Amino acid sequence: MNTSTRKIVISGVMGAISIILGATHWGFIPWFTGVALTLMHVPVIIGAVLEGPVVGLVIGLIFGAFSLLQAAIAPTGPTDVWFTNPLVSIVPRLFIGPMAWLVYRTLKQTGEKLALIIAAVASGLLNVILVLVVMRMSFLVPQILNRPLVQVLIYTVAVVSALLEAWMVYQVLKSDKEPVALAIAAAAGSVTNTMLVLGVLGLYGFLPWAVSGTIAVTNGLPEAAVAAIITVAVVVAWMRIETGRKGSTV
Amino acid sequence: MPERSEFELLGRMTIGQYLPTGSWLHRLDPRFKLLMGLLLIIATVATADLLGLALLFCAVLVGLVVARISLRFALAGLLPMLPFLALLALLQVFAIPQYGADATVLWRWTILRVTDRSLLAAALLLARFGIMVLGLSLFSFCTSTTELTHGIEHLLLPLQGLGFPAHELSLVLTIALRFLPILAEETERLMKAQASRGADFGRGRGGLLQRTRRLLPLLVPLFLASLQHADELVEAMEARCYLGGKGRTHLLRFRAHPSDYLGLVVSLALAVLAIGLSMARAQAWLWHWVGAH
Amino acid sequence: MSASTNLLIEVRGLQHTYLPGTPLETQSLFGVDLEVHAGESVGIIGPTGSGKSTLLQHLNGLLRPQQGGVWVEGVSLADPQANLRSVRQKVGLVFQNPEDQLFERYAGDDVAFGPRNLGLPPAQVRELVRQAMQVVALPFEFKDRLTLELSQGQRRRLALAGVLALAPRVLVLDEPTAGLDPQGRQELLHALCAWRSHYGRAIVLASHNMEDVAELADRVFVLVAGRIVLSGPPRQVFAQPELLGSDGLGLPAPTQALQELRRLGYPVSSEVLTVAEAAAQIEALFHA
Repeated sequence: MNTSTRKIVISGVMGAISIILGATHWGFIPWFTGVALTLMHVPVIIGAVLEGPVVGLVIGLIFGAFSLLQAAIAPTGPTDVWFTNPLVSIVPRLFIGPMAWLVYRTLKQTGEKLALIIAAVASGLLNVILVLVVMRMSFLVPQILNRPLVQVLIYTVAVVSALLEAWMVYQVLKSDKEPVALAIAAAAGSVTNTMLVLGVLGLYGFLPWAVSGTIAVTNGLPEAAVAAIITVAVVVAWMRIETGRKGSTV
Repeated sequence: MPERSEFELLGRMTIGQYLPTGSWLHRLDPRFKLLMGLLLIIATVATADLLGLALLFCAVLVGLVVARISLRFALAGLLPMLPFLALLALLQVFAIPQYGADATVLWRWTILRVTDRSLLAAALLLARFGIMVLGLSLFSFCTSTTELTHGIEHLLLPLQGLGFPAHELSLVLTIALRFLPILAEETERLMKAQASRGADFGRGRGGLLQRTRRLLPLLVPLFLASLQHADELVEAMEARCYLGGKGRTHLLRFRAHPSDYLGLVVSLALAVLAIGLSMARAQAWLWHWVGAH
Repeated sequence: MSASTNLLIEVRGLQHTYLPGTPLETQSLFGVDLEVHAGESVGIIGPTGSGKSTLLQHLNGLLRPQQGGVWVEGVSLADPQANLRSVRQKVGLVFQNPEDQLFERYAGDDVAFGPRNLGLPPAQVRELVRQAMQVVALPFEFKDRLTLELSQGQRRRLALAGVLALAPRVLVLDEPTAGLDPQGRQELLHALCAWRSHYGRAIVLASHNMEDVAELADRVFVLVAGRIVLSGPPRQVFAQPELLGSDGLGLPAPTQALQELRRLGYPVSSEVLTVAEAAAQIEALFHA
């Protein structure tokens, strides 16, 4: 089967799904923050995982272009004004697919030593970011957070959880389970979407960084989880993978 | 009392529908229609003057009349957006800081201030969105999706020589557009079929995990069916000896007619006029300001 | 209106319009009357676009009556307070190509989806799944098979089982044998007959496959352009070929064959519905 024909068709079909999700309410999960969790990046991730980074790029392009058109033609809220700018709507979305594919491929091909290194680096970075966010938010409750005792506590928690995470990630990488690789890749793609879009909005000055940071946590993390669940369900069914429980629960 | 069930989707949007009325506008070469649309968008964005925008708005209305589209229907497409436009306008008026120390303050209440500048900005915003919505609706009323994709592909063809995969990308677009109605119908059918089995798609109940799991009966079959369709399409294409874009010729060759150029020239004139007006007014204001000092 | 448990579904003067108030507004149903009683099989035949699917979707509340009324076991579906969940348990609707709706990785889980949505305890769910799979002649062990690994015919029967697991009183099917090979079709019809033989159940079958209707239905309604133009027992309805022919509908092949023979002068009765009956008529010719 000619692979480039296949890539063209998958790009088109997944792109269509992304548009459908964006145009109907099926692509949105209402969320307590008032900003809904979106699902339009999931076809991008699935296309990338199944067919490669170029396909992911193209589907991301379709996603971005449609979100721009939608913001311009049928705005559903004041924030749509920002999305009429292609740097906000299109450019960040180009990276979702390639990132998801990269993570997926890396996870499937890592040897033990490499896995350990990745685990350590990833969890270390995660903790650094978390600590920074908490520090940044210290302007909210300055009295409590500026006490040295509390700061020591925070750093201890950070280090301990970093070690815990490193161990967990290492276990996960070692076990070579397809659904886990898919879930992490999907989460990575989703987080890329969140970070890059919020990043551009922050650089333009549309959103103060504190707000972006909050949204990244309150919306970005759940969105990553949702993307992971859907991606795993679809790809595992499509590829007829039998890991996990063997057999129905009936 | 007639009970509207929750399952009738997709009937409400006026954007994106093709209404073949066979008018002069419909028969124009799609490449030119695309260019005219692009000019409209550029003009709308670049015009910072209410008079210029009013001119563009009238132009779009005239376009709708020429295309034999009911004005009432087209304007009704704006209705669902009115609340958001109102919200946007309010945001513009109150939340965006006014610029320039000489802006006259018209109204004041604690920290909120309404200046003539912010009112102008709000009006511009509303006018721009109105023109965009109507203009793009007009474009979709007059252009079928085949015309659209052919037009885009032919416009981008010159770039193919530079290594830009115009053919492949426009094929992707064609396929995506072709699948939209199929997938929309499939989504609706899936929703009804799963609802018939008691599925509740988790609007607002339960934790995130639960709600996501309740979406799976809709999303998973949608993706699976699409992947299946994709496989079938690839086979069909290869069975028809599709070997990629190299050396492919087109059945539909576009030839530009005088009416196409007429349309393009008219659009160009309007765009220039609108932008020029706004620049001229800005100029006049600038001279006035200079003169006053 | 009638609270008798014998009258399962009642439709009176049902009208429906798609996209009312838009330029694409089309009326699809113009005052349809229908009754479904326990123990009977009702066939609805009509050409594509006649409104069959629209009518079927009214039977379990997916579409609410815009004008006219629909009652399921006495409960009016025009009532905004109507308990739709209970209606959809009583009236099981099987869409065309139902195998498209399978989403669970393992077959058993998909069949269990319906009963689980009803909130039933796991033991009862298991029993319902077992019974449903038995009706469609799928071994219970298939519950642990990957859904996508089953053949199309098996998947269709699995999807049917998914609806049967709700233990409905009325089974409503839209083109159940579309796209199946002859063997698949036979297996499906057999499963439907087996299910129907239980006391108190009914089947509503919408199809433009005349042979299916001839084989299963006790009563036939002919729906053309949103109106019921003909109704009655199948032998009676199929005996009026002129009416059917002008509406773009055909006759079951056996009926058609014998009508041809009649026209050629052979003394056969054309009131046949199945191949077996037709064969009997032809065989009788040789003994005359």
